[in-house]
Amino acid sequence: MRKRIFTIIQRGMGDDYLSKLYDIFIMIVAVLSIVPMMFKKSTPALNTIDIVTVYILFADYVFRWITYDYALKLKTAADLGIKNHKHLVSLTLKPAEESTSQRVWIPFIIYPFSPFAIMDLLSLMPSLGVISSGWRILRVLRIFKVLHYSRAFQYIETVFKKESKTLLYVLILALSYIFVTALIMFSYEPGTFDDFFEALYWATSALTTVGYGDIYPVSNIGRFISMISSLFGIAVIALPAGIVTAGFIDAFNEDKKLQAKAARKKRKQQKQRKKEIALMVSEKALGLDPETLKQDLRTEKDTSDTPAGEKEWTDET
Amino acid sequence: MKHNKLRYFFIMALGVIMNEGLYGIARAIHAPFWLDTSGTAAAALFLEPTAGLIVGLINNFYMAISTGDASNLFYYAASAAVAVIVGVGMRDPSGRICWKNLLPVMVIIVVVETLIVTPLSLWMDNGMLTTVWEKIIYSKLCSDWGWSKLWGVFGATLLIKIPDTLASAAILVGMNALLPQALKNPEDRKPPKQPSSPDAIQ
Repeated sequence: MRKRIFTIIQRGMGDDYLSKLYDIFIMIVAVLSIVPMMFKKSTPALNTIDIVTVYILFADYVFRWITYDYALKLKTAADLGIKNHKHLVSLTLKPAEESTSQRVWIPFIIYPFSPFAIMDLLSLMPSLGVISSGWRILRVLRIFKVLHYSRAFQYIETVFKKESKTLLYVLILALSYIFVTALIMFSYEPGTFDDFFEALYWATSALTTVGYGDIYPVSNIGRFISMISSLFGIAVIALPAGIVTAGFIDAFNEDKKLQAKAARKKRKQQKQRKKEIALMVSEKALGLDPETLKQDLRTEKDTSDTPAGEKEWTDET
Repeated sequence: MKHNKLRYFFIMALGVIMNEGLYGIARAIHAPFWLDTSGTAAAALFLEPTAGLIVGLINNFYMAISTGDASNLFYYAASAAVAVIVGVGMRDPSGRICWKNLLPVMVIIVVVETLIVTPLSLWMDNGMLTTVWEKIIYSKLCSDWGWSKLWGVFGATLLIKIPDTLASAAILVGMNALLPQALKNPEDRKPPKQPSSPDAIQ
């Protein structure tokens, strides 16, 4: 039963109708659960929506918890570079007895501390009345459920993982630039800012081109510093956008290529199957042995499909 | 496969009905037990822990809808504990139900459930106990014996959990005897393995 639950809840594990339906259902529930936030006053209908959606999202949390061992296996297999989907699924769903790990209970202990589990639980807390109404904003975290199932979000996640070092350097650079600009401005125009935090606030809003206009330099030197820092600052601030966009396009193109390759392979397999059936029918009519013919066809297929030295499962994704 | 799905559906539905029905009866006759996790335990025992977890969740959801309060979700921890303890503890390595484990499993359930329910009662209901028997025991412990509120709630919950667990265990034993073979796990349908005789070894 756990295995079946896992194939239903995990995106991309089950090719069946129910798995796809579940993905859509949870996305709708996650969006619906945020609806009560759009109203100032609570009504019985909104309260019911809140309770029902919270329970469904909690059920999803429980299902993920009790199948976390499979999720970890899937992650390990994916980290090992296994790209073939069927092979990945069979490895992931291997019974626990065949598993090399003896500590089968560990995944169930660590699940509540995983980032997605913490986020899920935090997003449910406001509806349970255990934290003050000021923390209602945590419900917004439920939207991550939707993003979790979204392909676009997965591209972004891949980019952030891939470019984490570069993005960290850019972030340090941007923060340093804001800090230095605020420091210079604060020392030249101490009258404009009440404290250094205000200078930081001005530098951030100016360099990110937001510019609320509530604080601005008044002296000529201050304005000159502002002009220069904005010109250079815009380049620094725009850097991460470029990195993420480039990474996103790369991830998108790569995925497109993989999908096209998978579609080509499927078409080829269908064509081969049709050929096999046609041959069997025609040879049966001629009175030849269909088993011998099938064997010949398989040999022919194997030699044409698998280049020398390449593993059988690596080319299918 | 279809039969297995039907078996799961039937026992899980029975578990939900048992939880609600027996709880309602126990409350109506002011019995010194709740029986609100008997169906959860049955699903965990005759199917698997996951089935018990789902049955407990359905009952908890029903309670939340009927009371209009989502905070009942916290009490799910008690149902989940029962499902896991029964589902895991009552089976031997070969996957068969092991009735020898019944007593230790019952003791674990009593202790774990009390440890879960006591802080929840104190935190969410300010230590307000629900059944007549709990209130009697609580007042006896606190007024006559001078126990603090915390220990009073703990003691009352613990003392009610004992007959509750005993009654649930009796129901499970009865169910095991009455349940048709077709509704049992394939491992439990087979006769137990007999130790091979010395003649056979020779």
